[in-house]
Amino acid sequence: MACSATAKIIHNPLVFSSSRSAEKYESCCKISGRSSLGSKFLGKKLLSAKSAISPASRRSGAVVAVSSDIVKEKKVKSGSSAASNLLITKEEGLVLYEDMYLGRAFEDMCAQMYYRGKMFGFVHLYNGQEAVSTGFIKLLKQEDCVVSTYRDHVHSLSKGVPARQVMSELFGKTTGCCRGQGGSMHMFSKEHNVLGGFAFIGEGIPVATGAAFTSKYKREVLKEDCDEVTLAFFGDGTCNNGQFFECLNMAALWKLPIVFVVENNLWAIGMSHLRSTSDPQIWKKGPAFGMPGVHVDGMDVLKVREVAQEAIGRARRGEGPTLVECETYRFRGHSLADPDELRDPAEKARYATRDPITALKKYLFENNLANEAELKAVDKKIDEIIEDSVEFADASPVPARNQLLENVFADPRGFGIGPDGKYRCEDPKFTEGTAQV
Amino acid sequence: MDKLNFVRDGGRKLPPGFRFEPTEEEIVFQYLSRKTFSHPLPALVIPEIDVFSMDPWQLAGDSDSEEDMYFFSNAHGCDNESERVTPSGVWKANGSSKKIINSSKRMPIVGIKKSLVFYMRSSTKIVATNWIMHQYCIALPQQEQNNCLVRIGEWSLCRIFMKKGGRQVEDDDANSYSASSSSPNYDPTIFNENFEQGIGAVALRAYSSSSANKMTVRDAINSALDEEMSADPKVFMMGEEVGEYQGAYKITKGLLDKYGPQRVVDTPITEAGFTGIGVGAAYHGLRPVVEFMTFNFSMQAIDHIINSAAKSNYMSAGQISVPIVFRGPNGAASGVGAQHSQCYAAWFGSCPGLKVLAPYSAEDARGLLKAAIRDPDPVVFLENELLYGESFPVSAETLDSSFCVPIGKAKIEREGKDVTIVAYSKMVGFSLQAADILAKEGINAEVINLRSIRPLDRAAINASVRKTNRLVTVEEGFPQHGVGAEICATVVEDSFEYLDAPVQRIAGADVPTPYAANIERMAFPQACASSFPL
Repeated sequence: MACSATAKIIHNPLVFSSSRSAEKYESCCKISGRSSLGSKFLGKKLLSAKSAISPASRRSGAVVAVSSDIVKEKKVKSGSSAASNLLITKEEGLVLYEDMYLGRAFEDMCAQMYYRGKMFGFVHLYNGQEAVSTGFIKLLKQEDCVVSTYRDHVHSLSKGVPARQVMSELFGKTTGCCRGQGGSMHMFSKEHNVLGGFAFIGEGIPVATGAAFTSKYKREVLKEDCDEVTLAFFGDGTCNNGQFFECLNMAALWKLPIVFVVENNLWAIGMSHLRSTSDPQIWKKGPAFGMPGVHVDGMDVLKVREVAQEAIGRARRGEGPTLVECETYRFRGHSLADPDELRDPAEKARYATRDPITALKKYLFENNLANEAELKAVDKKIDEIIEDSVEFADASPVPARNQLLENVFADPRGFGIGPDGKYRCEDPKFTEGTAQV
Repeated sequence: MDKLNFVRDGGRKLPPGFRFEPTEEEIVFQYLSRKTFSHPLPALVIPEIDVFSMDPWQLAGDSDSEEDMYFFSNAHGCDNESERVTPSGVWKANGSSKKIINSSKRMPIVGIKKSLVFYMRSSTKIVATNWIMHQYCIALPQQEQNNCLVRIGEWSLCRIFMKKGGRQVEDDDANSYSASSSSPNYDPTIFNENFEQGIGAVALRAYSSSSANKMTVRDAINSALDEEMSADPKVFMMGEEVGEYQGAYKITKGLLDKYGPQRVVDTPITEAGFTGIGVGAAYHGLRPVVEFMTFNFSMQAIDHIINSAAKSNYMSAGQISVPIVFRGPNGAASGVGAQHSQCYAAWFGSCPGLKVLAPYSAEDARGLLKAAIRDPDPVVFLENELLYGESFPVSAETLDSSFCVPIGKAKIEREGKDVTIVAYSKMVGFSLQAADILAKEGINAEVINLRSIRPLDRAAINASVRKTNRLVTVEEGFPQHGVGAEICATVVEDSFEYLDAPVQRIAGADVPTPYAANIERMAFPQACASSFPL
């Protein structure tokens, strides 16, 4: 079926104002109980006020969020009564809850450790965005790949990298997932297919597209049985970068099995998305290249999960890429060194009420999928894991001196010929880390 | 960068106002020489035909213009007085040959012009017609044999026309009918210096090596890619015009037909995007060979070459290795301007995690490219456009499909004892010529072909300097922070007491490359005798 990926009006036109008027939010808040979680409100854009927006950037017009035909059909098929059709089972619910709570607790611990001096450099925390990571990554298999930016701790945790290894890596110890050589911004794991961890925004997108290319190549040229999917996570600021568009073009051109997930938290350090982008609706950029563009409420893990199922399914079936814009928010600053002065406290407060973990908890209670005690047990278990990881990281050794020179090349003879005419790596002194190199 | 191609459907259709009336010097030294030595032609106005397979009036085809016709044909018989037979008659030489020399530059080769007249066969005899042919070929004076001329090359350039009243056809009246093109603005010295040097070197080489296998650098690279792609199905090529266009410089000719569009991938013009895609594919298990049309375009992708490819094995502590090769022409070509002429050896050579290779001969190109594709680390493979057409003798071992040259080892091209000259890529050729010139002055130079910029073969350079006690480094790139600077520092650190004189660096001029041919020549090193006027 061809994906038309054109805009279709699915509701009565809503007045869309980029100034995020407060009343609009209030009225939507009232239905933020079970119906908004259980309903199929795909694409309803809920915005909160931002007082610093200049009148010039305000828009009023009859614009609605869109979904592609495919997703819309699924929505229609699933029926309209929200209450009787639960989206998840109890086990799935607990898995989602556990994963989100792990991400949150881990990041909070990172903040603590940073202020105690155990962690250093650039640390970018993911608080508030857990729904996106959990909603997408928990649907993947081990062979599927995840590529992220510098805000990658939680993506690695969701993908399955043990908390111990991630914490050690952040402490700079040799037991970290990259032996302490990567750091906060460069989480790599071959075993769990986390392909990084890139400090340059936009750099991960072509790499993810390459991993998807490999998947297609393996299937079509090497004739292996391969339906691996790649997810590329990146932010709203990246969507103005040239590499993003280059990869949208090539992924759609070659129908690569990739999902481009935009974590639109409205802020690129201190630059508001609305100030820096001519058309702030990022999902629209997908159809321009021939792929469906979907907008979803990224603070709601169940909605994200639903969209993710469809997008990942599309990729696995070989129908090509999808661009998913998740509207989300980071509760902390850009990094732990960011004073976070430019964001309106009222905006932060409003989003705090939409905390994804609280929302999922409420859903589980209201639908009798879990009770207080079970969730508390999960909390306790996660807290213990985090404590253990900190102790493990503390107790781990720092890298040995000779580790400085290791891993530059996969083929160690890449260090060349020494003065005695033999390969340098064969010299025992070389690996002791002497300064002769 | 496109060559002008006015030959369509076999006929010549020139754009309005374009006159094709070359002088004899231009015919020999611009068109015929380039054709003979496989250099790029300035304008593809001259088709290839066997002129003796048809009668002269049939050669014009459907065109009924009365202009002179020019063809490339084979050169047999050009240096003797034999007759050439056609369906309706015979071309006979009218006696004398004329020697054509390059009036502005001393060149080792000369042109020979032979005049022929077409005689039509009627029932019992042959009758002279007004069809005249001037056949030009290239020859080398043999110094040892009193400068007698020996023809070289397989091509001759034939000018065929119908004599009109008043038009002179005697040999020594060449100037009278080409007067219109000998305008004062035409400068026959507008020549690529490197091309001339190449001509000199190749002409000598083409004549001197008689039976050894020879291979152009282009064929060497093509065969290396072909063999590696057939040996390992994970190797694939990606770049602009590598597929249907057969390669911007025809390096990947034939690979699309052989391996299909999924292994020889034509990309849109998105260096950053497709380089990143190549790196991502390498992360995940494939072995891409990414071609840059020139390495100047790699600047749009340098983030991926350095940050995602070079540094990844280190950042991931060995989990993710990147077995990718970035290849393409590097350095100056001929008259392509500042943005297409930079040499990137020094920039890439300073980055840990990369291996940087710069081949010179066909053997280097083949062996190093095969080693690069098999290498598990990112390799930057710097070729040179002007070397693509040059032929080098290759041993039987080189032609074997498992032939590899080790990465990180330099080659001593010429042994010597008085001074060491270290160079890479095209400059090795110049260094060898310079060594020949020095030999006449009694200086015995040792020439080292680096082959590998990173890792640099410091051991070989130091050993040589310790033998000769003097060092000259030659490179095409900008002088500041160049490869020569690194070699000089290395030698000063390791072999200071052995140096009898300061290290001399020869590099390109510290300016963006100009376009005008004469100052472009001055912007790069040249090999010439000290008394030769520049």
